[in-house]
Amino acid sequence: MNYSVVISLLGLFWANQLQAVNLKVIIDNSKGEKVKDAVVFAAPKSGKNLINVTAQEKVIDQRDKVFIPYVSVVQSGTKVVFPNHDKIRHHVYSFSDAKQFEIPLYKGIPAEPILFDRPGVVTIGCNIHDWMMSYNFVTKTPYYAITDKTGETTVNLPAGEYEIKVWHPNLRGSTDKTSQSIIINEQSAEQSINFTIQQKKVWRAWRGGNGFSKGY
Amino acid sequence: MKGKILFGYTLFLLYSHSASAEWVEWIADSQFDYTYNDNINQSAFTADELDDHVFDLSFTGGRYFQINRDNADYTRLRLAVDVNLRAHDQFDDLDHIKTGGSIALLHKFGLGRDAIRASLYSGAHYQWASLSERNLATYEFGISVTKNVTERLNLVLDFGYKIDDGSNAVRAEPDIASDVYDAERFVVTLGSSFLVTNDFQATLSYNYLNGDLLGNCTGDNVGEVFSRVNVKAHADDRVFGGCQYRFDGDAHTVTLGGNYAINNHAFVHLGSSYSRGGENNLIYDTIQVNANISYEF
Repeated sequence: MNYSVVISLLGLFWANQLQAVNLKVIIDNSKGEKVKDAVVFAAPKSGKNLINVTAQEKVIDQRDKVFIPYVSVVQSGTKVVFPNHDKIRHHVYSFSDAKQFEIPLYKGIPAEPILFDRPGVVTIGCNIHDWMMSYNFVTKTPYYAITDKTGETTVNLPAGEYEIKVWHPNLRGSTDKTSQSIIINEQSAEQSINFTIQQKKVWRAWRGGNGFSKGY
Repeated sequence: MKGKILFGYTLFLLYSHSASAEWVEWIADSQFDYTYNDNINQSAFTADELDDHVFDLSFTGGRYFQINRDNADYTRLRLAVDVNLRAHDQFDDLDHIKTGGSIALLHKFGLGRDAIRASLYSGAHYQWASLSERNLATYEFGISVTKNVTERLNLVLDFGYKIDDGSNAVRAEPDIASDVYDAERFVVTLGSSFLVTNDFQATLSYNYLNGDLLGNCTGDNVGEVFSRVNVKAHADDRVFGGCQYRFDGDAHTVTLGGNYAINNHAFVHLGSSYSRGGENNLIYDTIQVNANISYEF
């Protein structure tokens, strides 16, 4: 590879960075409450960048018999590692269509990460401690973020036209119902978009006191 | 004696199975209980019923083993040591220190929270009471099956067999045995818990007991007791006064309660139970109200 090619690639990369715009996303529910842990993902209408990644790794930790984080998002093709930092053993599994796997009882870091290669929701549990739950959203697009407790987040998007959708463990209905189109204008410093989503109750028992969730 | 043999046999069985087991988890639980009992002497005569406030402090420590044999990855062994301190507001002769252990073989029939869980358990405990004639060895054996029926509803079915091996009581009459505190009982429990919110759970259970029941009688009603039921043992009662008697009978108990999770380790419980037990019109009723706070490591 000669220097001109390298310089051209760097120039393209730099130009792309210059054109990126922060899209501020604010999500509340039908009661007007801010929604934490909502996944926001933006698909370019051009279809560009919708390819599996190959070298990314994501960590879903286990501490004090809880999965951390409760909600996560990865691009399809990402390898997910499930380190167990407790002094006891966990047995991690998922029945989800997007990824079915099982890591039998272990401590520390499993020998192999799990490849999340299909878009969809992967619900993760521990077969020993029934109250342990985590949701991982797998998306084709590299443009995604998760809202904080203020119901806000920011997605960094190159200029272009996008379809923005929202997913949440408590979302009533499909993500398609949340879809909004937006044109990211390279002249803007920041743009914003608001979503109001319909939520349903998701039963997630606390560990304490629940015979329901005592595991075995 | 029968209880000791059964418990020893269970220990042997479980120990032999644990040869290839692996330690996987600690148990360190503590609980403080307050209970109001409106008929602590289990009198079948309303006028003679005595009530009391009871306080318990309990600790359980132990470990889980995972049985790592082929196709048995879902089987665990639970070994625990229990210590219980009990104090009564009025009848402090019944205050006791109780300690012992329990063993349970647990199996989950598959993967996930909806899989059925079964537990084959046994336990042996000894209580040292303030009044030595109330010292008691207790043994229990049973099987319990649990199923999460829906996301919110959990059901438990438990069959238990319990043996009390009591101390010698003061003989009341020469022709009748005085071993009133030696008792054997079968107990069946159907329990349910229902998530009202993610941190509050309502519980409802029904308990059926068949076997030896104890009651307190006085000089005025002892004749009526003997006329109504077949008294198997009879002795002086130095705690409540009068006498204690043991007979065969049934008891039905309904318990309603609620658990509120404070955080991921602690919860509070409030509940109440109603028991009706006896035989041949010699019926006692007991209402208990219980509140406790628990911490699980």
